[in-house]
Amino acid sequence: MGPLGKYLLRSVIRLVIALFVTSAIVFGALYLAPGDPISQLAGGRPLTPQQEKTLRAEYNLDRPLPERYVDYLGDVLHGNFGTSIAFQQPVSELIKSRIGTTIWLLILTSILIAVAGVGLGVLAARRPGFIDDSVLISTTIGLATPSFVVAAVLIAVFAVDLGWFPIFGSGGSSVGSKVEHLTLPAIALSLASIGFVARTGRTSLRVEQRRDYFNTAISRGIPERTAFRRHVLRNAMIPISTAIGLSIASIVVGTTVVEVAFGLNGLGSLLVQSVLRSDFPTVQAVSLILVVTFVVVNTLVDILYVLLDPRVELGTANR
Amino acid sequence: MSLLTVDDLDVAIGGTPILRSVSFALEPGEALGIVGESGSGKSMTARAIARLLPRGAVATGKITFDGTELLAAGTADMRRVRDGGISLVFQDPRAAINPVRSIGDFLAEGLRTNRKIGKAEARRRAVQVLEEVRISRAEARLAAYPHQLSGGLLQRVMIAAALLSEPRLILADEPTTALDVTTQAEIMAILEELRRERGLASIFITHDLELAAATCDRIAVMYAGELVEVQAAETLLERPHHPYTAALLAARPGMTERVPRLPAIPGRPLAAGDPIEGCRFAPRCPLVIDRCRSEHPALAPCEQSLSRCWRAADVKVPEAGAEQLDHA
Ligand SMILES: Nc1ncnc2c1ncn2[C@@H]1O[C@H](COP(=O)(O)OP(=O)(O)O)[C@@H](O)[C@H]1O
Ligand SMILES: [Mg+2]
Repeated sequence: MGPLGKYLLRSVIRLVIALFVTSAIVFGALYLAPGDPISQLAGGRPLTPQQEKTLRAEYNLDRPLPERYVDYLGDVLHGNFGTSIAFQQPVSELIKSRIGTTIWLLILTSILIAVAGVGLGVLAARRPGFIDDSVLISTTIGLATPSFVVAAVLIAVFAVDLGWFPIFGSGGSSVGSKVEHLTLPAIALSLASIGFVARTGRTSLRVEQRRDYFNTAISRGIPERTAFRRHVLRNAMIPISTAIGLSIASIVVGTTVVEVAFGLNGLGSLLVQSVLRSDFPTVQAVSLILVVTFVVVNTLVDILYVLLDPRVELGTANR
Repeated sequence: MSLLTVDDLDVAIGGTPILRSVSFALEPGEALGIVGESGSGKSMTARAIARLLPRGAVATGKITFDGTELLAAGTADMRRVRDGGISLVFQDPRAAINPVRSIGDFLAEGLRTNRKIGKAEARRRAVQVLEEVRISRAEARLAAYPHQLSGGLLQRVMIAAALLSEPRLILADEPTTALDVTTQAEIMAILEELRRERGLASIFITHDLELAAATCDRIAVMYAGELVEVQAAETLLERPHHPYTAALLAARPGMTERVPRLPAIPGRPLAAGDPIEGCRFAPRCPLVIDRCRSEHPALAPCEQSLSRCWRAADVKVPEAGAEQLDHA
C-alpha cells in the first residue's frame, strides 16, 4: 500500500473511532441525565403501567449497559430510532419527512460558501485598495452578525418588503420551489462562513502571489491569469478548502436556528421542537445524525487536504 | 548586432534609487558574469531585464533584446521574449518550482500552454531535456514531486525547463549559491556545456569573482547599484582597473589557505540609495584622492577595460591571499 493508501486508511480508522465515541455519548446521555431513564424517556409525562412496560422492553432497560449499547447501534444501523412519545410515531418516519429540507439547505449553503467565499477572496487579493477594503469591511460585518439577526433582516427586506422570496415554509418537492424557499435561509446560514472563507482566501492568496514559482511561470510567458489560477489559486486552495470544510461542518449545527427562524420543517427545527417537548428519543436521533454528519465532513476535509498537497504524505508540509 | 543591450537603466523603488545608469551589451553566444557583493543590485538588473521587478519599482532607460524594447513591450511581445527568447534560472529551485505540481507538469507547462503542444510530445521532449542535463531515470522523474528531489537535482530540472523553450539567452541568478560545493561544480559544468553546445548567450550572476572568471567570457563588476568595471575575464584577474575589483581579488583565499570564499573588504558597502557626491566606493577605497569625494566618475575606457575610477590606471595587481584583511 502506498503512503496515500495508508493515510486514507488512517483517516477511516479515525472516523470509525470518532463515530463510536460520539454514538456512545449520545446513547449514554439517557443514563447520564439525573433521574430514572423511564421518566427521561417519557419527558415527565405520566405513564400508564402498560406504556411503561413497552418502554422498558423497547429500551431493554433490564439488561446490562454494554449490551444495550450494542443493541442501540444495531437498531440505529437499521434505521430504527425508537418511537416518539410527543409525536406518537416512529422517530425514523419523523426524520424521513424532515431530512430532505435540511439536506437541500446544507447543499445550497455549501455552494454559497464555496462560490462567494472564494470569489470574494480572489477579488480582495487581486484588487488592493477600494475593492479590498470593501470586502474586508463587509466580511467583518458578516462575521460579527448572528445568523438569527441576518435571518430577521433578510425576511423583512426580501420576503416582506420586496416580496422576492416566500416568507415561510420549505416549499414543494421541485428543485425550483426548494431553491426559492431555501435561498434566504441559506444566505443567513452562510454569511459568517463566507466572511471566514473570504478572509482565509485573501490572506493565503496574497502569500502565494509573492512566491517565486508564480514569477517562474510569468518568466516562462504563461499568461498572468493562467499563472494565477494554476500556481496561486491552486496552492491557496489547500488552506481555503480546509476553511470551507470546517465552515460546512459548523453550519450543520447552525441549521437549528435558521430553520426555526424561517419556519422550515427540517431536522434542525425538529431538534428544537423535540427539546421543547422533552421528546428524548427524537432529540437523541437528530443529535446523532447531526454529529455524525459533522464528523464525516471533517474526515472528508482531511482526505481532501492530502489530495491537494502532495507534500503531506511524507510529513513535510508547512515547510 | 548585439543580442541584448541595456542602456542607461535606472531602477528606483519608492523613490529610492536601486540601480544607477547600468549599461552593457551582450553578443549572441557570449557569456557575461555579473559579480558584486550582496545588495549591489545584481538581482535587480536581472529582474529588470526579465520584467519581473517588484511592485512599486520604476525602471527607466532602454533594454533591447533581439530588436524588442523590453521596458516598452506589450503583453504579446513580452510573452514572445519569455517563450523562446530569455529563460531564467533562479537561485533557489525549491522556491522557484511549485511544490504541489509534478516535475512533468512543471517541465511541460510552457510547451503545453504557450505552444499548444500535445501531452505525449511535451512528455517526450521533457524526457529528452532531462537526459541532456544528465538526470538518470528521466522517465520516472516526471511523476515525482519537487520535495522528493535533492536541491542539485531540482536545479537541473530548473535548467532543463529553461532549455525547453529553446531560448537565445539564459539568465542565471546565483544558480549554485543554494547548493553544496560538489553540486555547484556539477551545475556549472552542465550550464557551460549546454551553453557551448547550443550557442546560448548567458548572464551568470554570482558573488564569486573567480567562479565567474573561470566560466564567463566577460565580467561586469557591480557596486552599490552601479557597474564599476567591465572587462574580459582573461585579463580581469591579471589586470583589474577598479580598486573594488582589486579588493575582491585580494580578498580571495590563497591557494593553500582554507578560508571561506567571502570577500573581506574593510568598510560597510554603500547602498545604491545612499546619497553621496563623488565615487560610491571612495569611503572604502585605498587609492582615494580628493577628486573622488567630490566628482562622480563615469564608466570610461582604460587600456582593455571599462572602469568607473579616476585612478583606473594606478590600480595594482593584487597578490592572491597576500593581504587577507581581518574583516568579516
Ligand atoms: N522588494 C524590494 N523593495 C525594496 N528594495 C529592495 C527590494 N529588493 C531588493 N531591494 C534592494 O535593492 C538593492 C539591490 O538588491 P539585489 O539586486 O537583490 O542585490 P543582489 O542581488 O546584488 O544581492 C538592495 O539594496 C536591496 O535592499
Ligand atoms: Mg541577488
